[in-house]
Amino acid sequence: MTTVRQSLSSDEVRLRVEGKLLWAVLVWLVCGAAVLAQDRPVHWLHAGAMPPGAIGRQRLMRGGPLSGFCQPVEIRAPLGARIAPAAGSNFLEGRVGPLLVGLSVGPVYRFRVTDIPEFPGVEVFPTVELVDRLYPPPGQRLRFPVPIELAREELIAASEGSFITRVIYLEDPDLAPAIARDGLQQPWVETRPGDDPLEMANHLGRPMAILRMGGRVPNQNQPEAAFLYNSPLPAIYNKPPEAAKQRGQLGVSSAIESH
Amino acid sequence: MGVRLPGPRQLPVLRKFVATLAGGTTDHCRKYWLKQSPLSQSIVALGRDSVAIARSHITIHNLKRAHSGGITMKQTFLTLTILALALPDGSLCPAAGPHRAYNLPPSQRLMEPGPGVGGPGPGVLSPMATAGMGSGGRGLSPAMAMGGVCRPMASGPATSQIAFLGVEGGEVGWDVSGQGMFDSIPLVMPGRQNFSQGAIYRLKLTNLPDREGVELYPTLEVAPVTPRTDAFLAHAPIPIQFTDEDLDQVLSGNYVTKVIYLPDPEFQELALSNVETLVSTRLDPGVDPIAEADRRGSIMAILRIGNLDLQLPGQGLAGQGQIIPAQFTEGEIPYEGQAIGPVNEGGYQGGVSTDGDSQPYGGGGYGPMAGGPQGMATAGFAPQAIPPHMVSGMSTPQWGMPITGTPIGLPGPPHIPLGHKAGLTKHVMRNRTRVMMPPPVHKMKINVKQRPGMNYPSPVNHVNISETNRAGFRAFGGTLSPALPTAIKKMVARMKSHK
Repeated sequence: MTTVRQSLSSDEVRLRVEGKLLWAVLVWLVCGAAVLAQDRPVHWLHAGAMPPGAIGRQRLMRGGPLSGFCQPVEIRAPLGARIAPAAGSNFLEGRVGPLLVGLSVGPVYRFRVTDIPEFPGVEVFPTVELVDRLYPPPGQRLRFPVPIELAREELIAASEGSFITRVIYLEDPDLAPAIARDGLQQPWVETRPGDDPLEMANHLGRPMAILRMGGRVPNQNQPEAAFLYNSPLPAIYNKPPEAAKQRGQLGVSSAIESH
Repeated sequence: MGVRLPGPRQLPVLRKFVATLAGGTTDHCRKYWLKQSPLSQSIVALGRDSVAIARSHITIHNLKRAHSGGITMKQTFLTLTILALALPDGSLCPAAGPHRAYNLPPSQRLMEPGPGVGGPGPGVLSPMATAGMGSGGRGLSPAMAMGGVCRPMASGPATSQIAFLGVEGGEVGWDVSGQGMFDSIPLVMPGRQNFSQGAIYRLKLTNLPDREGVELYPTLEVAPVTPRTDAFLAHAPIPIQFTDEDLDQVLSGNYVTKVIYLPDPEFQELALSNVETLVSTRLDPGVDPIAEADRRGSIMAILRIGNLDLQLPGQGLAGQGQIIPAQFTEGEIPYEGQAIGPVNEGGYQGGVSTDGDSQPYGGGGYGPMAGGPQGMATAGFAPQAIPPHMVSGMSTPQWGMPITGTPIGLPGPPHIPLGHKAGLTKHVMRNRTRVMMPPPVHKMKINVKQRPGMNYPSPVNHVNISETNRAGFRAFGGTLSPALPTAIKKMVARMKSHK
């Protein structure tokens, strides 16, 4: 019995096979190009539009040295404006800014800003939610507070009904512009309509705090406990020591702002 | 599944199909496949996913044929290899097609163990942990409660602040002590007032400038808070604007619905100062402003204005407490007394009771506040409305609806008809949610690289110790005997000993 074996020795068949392989490579390259060119959708765990306090609580759930840490925060206001944190069922006596307070990750702190220059009767009640902390050298916490700036224009816009979200983030050293700053004004970037300020801050660095303010005012006699978020009392430092002076050389953070 | 596999005579068809795959679109290729290939005649009705199944059959079949066909087998193998590479169903090239966007539930829901459930289940959480979370009345999940110094706290106010704008000098009133009383201190516009969420309020507009004697009775529906609107409502008021155009439309007999909503990010270019208002008179005929606003974002308030007069002279006076609360009803609900008539499109009806007492209607309402002056909750699972100065069971009659409990924590159907004993014995709930959750991770590989890396010197493995315990060489003097005299003495001593 004879076995007849056919081989692929003919050039025509080889060319045909090579052509098929070429097609396969081309198809695969098209797929690969599509893969490379495709921007995979990213689902961010946190969004700037989340309820106040949710991000901080989720950060605590992730663990780490956040629980119980008192992060110094320096709240700056326009010259002459008074800042008062909520305490109990009302607000403490306002102090002329800047106000150095110690906040924890998780609670939402409500403040009252009064005596805004040129707008003496306007009151704004912003909230601050701390979502992360700094890691300064031991014993130098107060030297590196997280600066939160209450710009005068934003306070006025908020009192007129705008809702403003400002995300304060720690700059990524690889992305931070090498520009000398005086430390007196916090650089900020305004997001476009539809953009999430928290997502943008995530791209540019590490979000540290979220400042929200609008035109809502509490009851005149006694603010609701829900409005004050049960008034978590921040630690108030009497002396905002040379932090303001030295911060100018340190360039701690920037802000992302969304109207 | 019976699939007729291709023979040698059909391979050119298959090759042609492969060539088509390489150059055509997916739909075109599949269409060609279904039309031309005899293989596909039995899978026409099976759709897209069946192509992958058929492919496996082809592979098995052709492996069996490998013993009998030389060049046929090789050609077939090559063809099917190309086919496997080029099949557009995404099974081998998963990222080539349009990637499905990840669609996780909202983060607020991810923190909860189940949809609409504020805890792991009934009777598990302590009352402290299930304390209300403020605005939404959402329970505090155990994960939240164990947040170190993060004390249980309210996430926002349970009220929405309404800023009445537009008609300067106009006055707004609402009910305080009873329905139809409008006995609040008139609020002069522009002004603000807090309203509990999830309720409908009847307002009274008076003293409108340039419109003497005009009194309007709009209803204001304040939507419950959502995770999307919580931050806004906690910081900013909801602007309710009465424009001249709105008042002209109303006074000419039209019915105006204004929906104030917080637009989603993709619609925020349309928004001015965060919120936007949809007015029914500015939309195309047939467009529902509520549905459109719900499509564009999260509704915060709905204002409905008509020229209905609730205080007609000679009729039942609202000041005598005879206005029955506005109440949502499915269909017609008989009520006593003289009907003032429906006041808007759904089933909000008001009437005058004969006995002067506030009597809740017997259907349609949700929750204990169904008989309250604020009418119905604005959503089935919304937090119950708490009207100002009204507490169910204390200042108003106790009212509620028996709800069937379910093992998954969601409320079941109500026991209807009301007033009858609980007779519902069985209900079936099917979860038809399309779930595409990824499987759990079985193996995890983590590569860690620190920069700069570790660079240490090699540890010591050879030590030379040279210890000197004698004084230095000195020819004369010193603590040791001098070397030369000592040598001479030794030599003399040795010579003596030899003698």
